[in-house]
Amino acid sequence: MRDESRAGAAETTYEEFVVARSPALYRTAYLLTGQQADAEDLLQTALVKVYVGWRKVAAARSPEAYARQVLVNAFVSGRRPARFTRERLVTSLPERGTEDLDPTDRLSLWPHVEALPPRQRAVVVLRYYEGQSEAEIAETLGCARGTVKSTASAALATLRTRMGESS
Amino acid sequence: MSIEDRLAAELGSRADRLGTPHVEVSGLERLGRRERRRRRTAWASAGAAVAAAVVIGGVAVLAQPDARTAPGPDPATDPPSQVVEEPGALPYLLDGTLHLGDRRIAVDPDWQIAFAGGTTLVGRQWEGPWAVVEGDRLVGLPTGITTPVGVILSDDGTLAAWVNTLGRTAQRVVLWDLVADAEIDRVEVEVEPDFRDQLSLTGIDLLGRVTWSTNVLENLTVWRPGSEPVLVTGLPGFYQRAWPGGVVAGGRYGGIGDDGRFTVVGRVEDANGSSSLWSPDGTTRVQVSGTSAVLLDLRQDAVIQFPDLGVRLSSVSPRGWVSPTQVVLAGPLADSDDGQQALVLCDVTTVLCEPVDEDVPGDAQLPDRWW
Repeated sequence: MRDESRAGAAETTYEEFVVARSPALYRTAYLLTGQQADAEDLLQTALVKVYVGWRKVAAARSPEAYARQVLVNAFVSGRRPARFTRERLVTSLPERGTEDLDPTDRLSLWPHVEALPPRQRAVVVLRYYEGQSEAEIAETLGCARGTVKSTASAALATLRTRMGESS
Repeated sequence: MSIEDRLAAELGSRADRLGTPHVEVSGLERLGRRERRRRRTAWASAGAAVAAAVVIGGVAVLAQPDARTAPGPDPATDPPSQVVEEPGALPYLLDGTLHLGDRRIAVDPDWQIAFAGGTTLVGRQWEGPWAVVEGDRLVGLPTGITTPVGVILSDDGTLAAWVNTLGRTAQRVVLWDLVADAEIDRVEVEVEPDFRDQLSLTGIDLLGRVTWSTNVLENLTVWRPGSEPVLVTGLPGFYQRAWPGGVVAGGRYGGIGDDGRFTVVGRVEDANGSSSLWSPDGTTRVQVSGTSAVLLDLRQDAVIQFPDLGVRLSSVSPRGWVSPTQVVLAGPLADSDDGQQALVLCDVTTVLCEPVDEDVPGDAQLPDRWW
């Protein structure tokens, strides 16, 4: 698990939370969407939702986990109101090295992860980047542990197959 | 290396190559406030068009769910998310402080308060300023100096309207979208240089149209934004009050076509006064008499008695719908020497009431309707 040790944030303001936690949430958003611009949109959507429910978020055991849950569910549901994308309040510099052709990309898992369906991709990111357990992923996605297990299994099977095809 | 280990390494590596995002917090807060207000009013506007179709099926123009078209606002129909706030409490003013659930906001002691569809409006009659409550702050409306009626709200709380006097013979009606924080349209109206002919706003219907009369309750007019105002014709009697789907006149409620023609939908008893309050979608009405309350369901043509208010009051009046199915009644406690008031929440689906606040001081100013 990434650092979520600050249990409860009753004294933390929304601004403090955004400043402190945006980088981590942005990285998750990027791994989910695969594109920086989409990650910025997704993060913006999630942070607006977090503002709307800030009192509830601030009272949560882990506000960052709560925000990540909002972010992941916004990605999985695919509902990102167009109005939020009219204003770009989250921006970032281009990814370092994206212009360089990586000779190892042919052997990379990343293109295959990008091609996974949203829910499978969310499970992969939460499990192998966030380091969440099956139970935590189930809580984040609002589904049963068995569903997480079968979704992860399907994702890994797909990745193994595609890596085998590309190698 | 297993595929799981490779995933962990590659995802971490990808993420580490990202820079730090620049986040404009003030902009997020602004969008959040707008979203909060939009969600707060969504429950009312989402059901509005459907309700209009159900209740007033005979009135063609109102029966079309998509009739609320440009330049009116889009109805907010997003389902509530897991972080939507609970339906609000009934606000009231006390000694220059707005009480809204557990929030307190300082206001001018002379201000008035209105509440509709989850939206709280405060301001000063005649002069202004006027503001709506957004979270913990007041957002001013660009009303300038309004006429005596002041600012009015639509029943779903998404629209506001007001009148400005432009001179001895001209007044201007402005319709404002409270969700988008933007003016929808304005229209200038010629008036006689005579107090009797000044405009009095009477309501904003579910289609976002504004009605007004003159001070002698003649010449009821309907204005659809983007069109010229037209006189309402075919009323079965004197205008009595607004109904979310149209108006009540001569003991009958009905819709108004864009040509101004009134079409009766049904009969309504005791339409005058402050003893009753239409639900935001116009399908039900809560009416009080003495210390009891009844629910009039227009769809079922039924009258249902709320069996018990849960507290002894010396009188009671309906003050505001805090959700599509919950209305708050208020009145002084029967056993109180200093006029202490109680707020009672009544649910029209269960037909049950329960006191939610029995400590409202007697001099608190509860929401009122001046239109």
